[in-house]
Amino acid sequence: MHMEAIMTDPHTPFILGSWLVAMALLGLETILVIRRRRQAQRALQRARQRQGAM
Amino acid sequence: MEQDGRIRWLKFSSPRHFYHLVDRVIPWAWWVAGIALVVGLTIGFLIAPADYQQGNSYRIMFIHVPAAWMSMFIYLLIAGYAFIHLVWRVKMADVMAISLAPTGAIFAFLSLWTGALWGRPTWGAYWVWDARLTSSLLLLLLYLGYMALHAAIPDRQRAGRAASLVALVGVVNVPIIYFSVHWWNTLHQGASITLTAAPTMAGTMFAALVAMTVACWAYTIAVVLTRAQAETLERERGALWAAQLADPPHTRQEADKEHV
Repeated sequence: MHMEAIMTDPHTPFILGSWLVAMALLGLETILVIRRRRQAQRALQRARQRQGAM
Repeated sequence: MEQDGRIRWLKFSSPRHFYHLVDRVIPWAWWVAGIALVVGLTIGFLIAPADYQQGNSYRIMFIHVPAAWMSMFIYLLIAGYAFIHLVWRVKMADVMAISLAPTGAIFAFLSLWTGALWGRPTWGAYWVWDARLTSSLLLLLLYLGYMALHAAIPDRQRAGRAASLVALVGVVNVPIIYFSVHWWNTLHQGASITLTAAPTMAGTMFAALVAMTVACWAYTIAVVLTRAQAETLERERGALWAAQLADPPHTRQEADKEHV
């Protein structure tokens, strides 16, 4: 409804600059956190495999 | 979990129980965050009308205000966990505190960033050395200092204690941020939403703000608990329960039963 007015607003760069940076940062944090947990789980798996092999 | 009608809270300070409990909470938090974000964006950009003075630039508030609230509240949580860690030496309190810090720092940065991008069209300046803005910048620096100190000391116990002290000293900044608009004559306006009075904004604007606040809360719960799980696994690498997580599920359940 208001999207057309927002996109032609002279303040659009400020609105988009706020929202896109916010979403990008929070998205990046999500990816990094999930990756860190996966790495920790894999490290445990490797350690367990080494224990099993001994 | 419950014995004689009382919940055994101390059980959750055990890394093993904490890990399994948050494993069930995290997916729900992600779902709530996702749904609230969609609702917030829909109301905020498609339904809420333009402001009669600020036009469309006020829509930055839907991310600025929740980010500013979260940055203050997360710091209070860190200070609470720091206190618990210093007084009772609960190691999971330090895990929670250090897991909260990066998310708090991101929200503190976002409150400054979005505030600057709102300030330029509204005030005509990205930045002024106003009490609210300056104390918010100090909050970001406190987050960075807390994380840097925690990372700089190799011994985790000493790092936790030293960083906890910084967190406790820095917590005095939170009420300064909150009351700065009352204590000093600032360019930053006072609160539009308080617990004691009705909000001074249109219903749809308020609904978008509430939805985005819920989204930020649920996001924080999900991301912080996920980080706390990773931190717990890294610290508990040598523990039997952590090693058993790597086992196939059927053998893991048997091992769990043996422990009960």
